Amino acid sequence: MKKLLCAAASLGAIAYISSTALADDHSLGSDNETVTFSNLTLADGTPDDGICAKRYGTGYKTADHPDTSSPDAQKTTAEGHDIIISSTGGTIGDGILSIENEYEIIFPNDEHKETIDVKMFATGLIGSGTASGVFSDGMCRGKVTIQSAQQ
Amino acid sequence: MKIALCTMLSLFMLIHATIPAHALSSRVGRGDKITTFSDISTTDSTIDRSICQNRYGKVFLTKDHPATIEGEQLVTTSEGQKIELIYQGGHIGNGIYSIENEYKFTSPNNENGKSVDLQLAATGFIGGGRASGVFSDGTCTGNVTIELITPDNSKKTSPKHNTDPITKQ
Repeated sequence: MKKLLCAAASLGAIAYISSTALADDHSLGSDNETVTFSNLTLADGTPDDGICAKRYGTGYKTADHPDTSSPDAQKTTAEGHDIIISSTGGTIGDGILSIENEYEIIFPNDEHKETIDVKMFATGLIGSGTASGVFSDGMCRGKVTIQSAQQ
Repeated sequence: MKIALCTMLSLFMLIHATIPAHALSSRVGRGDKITTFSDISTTDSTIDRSICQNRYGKVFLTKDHPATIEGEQLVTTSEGQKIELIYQGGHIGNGIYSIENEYKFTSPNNENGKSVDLQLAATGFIGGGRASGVFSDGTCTGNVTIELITPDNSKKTSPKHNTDPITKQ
């Protein structure tokens, strides 16, 4: 994992999961994905008081932002989330990868339209199309599965 | 944007170089651990699968061993593997962590004691006692789970256990 690929990391590494050919990496930043959450608790591991289920009870499927001038890093979802990919990181190894991304998400059922910073750490086998791991927003944590829509 | 991200990554690396966050113990937890490899496959279909089965087919324990002490870089296991930490990465925060480590892994079965570079990428909950993720040595890949089997609570109850390897040297 010494190969810390800045170029790759800045592209939102999820696409690598379904693309063993790194040659088409220029288009990867705009990839969409299906994200599901499970095992929700508060960030310290104590049982969810309801806030986490409200935020993460349903996952989402990202779509390109309707504003065409919007950068690839901005997404919307069928469920009504507003998502900015605020930082991407991770490492690509020999056939495996890790993703360390941070998102700013406005959840569809939040009447205050509060922006929540969500960290996701996930790992996967290149070619599998799926990465799984954990997420936290400081209030809630849980497991996350990210599936590339590119398959 | 790319430049900013790269700067950020280098900053993370710096932080990790300066904070004595030790490999698995500070994330999975202190104590004996059991490591299980699953869904083992080869990176190339021409490679004989039995190589990978030999290397990773057996579950192993790092038990009653310095590996249960923070800061240990070299461990041997119940099955005779030698595992040396050669690179450490990942993040910890907000109740979750990631591990991006690389080891020099020597399997007890055959291969004349030759080692492979084993990459491990895994995630878990702080306090959860279990990390799961993926591994690769360039020839073999698959899933991996590292689970704390005997949580070491002596840190809280017995101050004399506080044998920091740094003060021991």
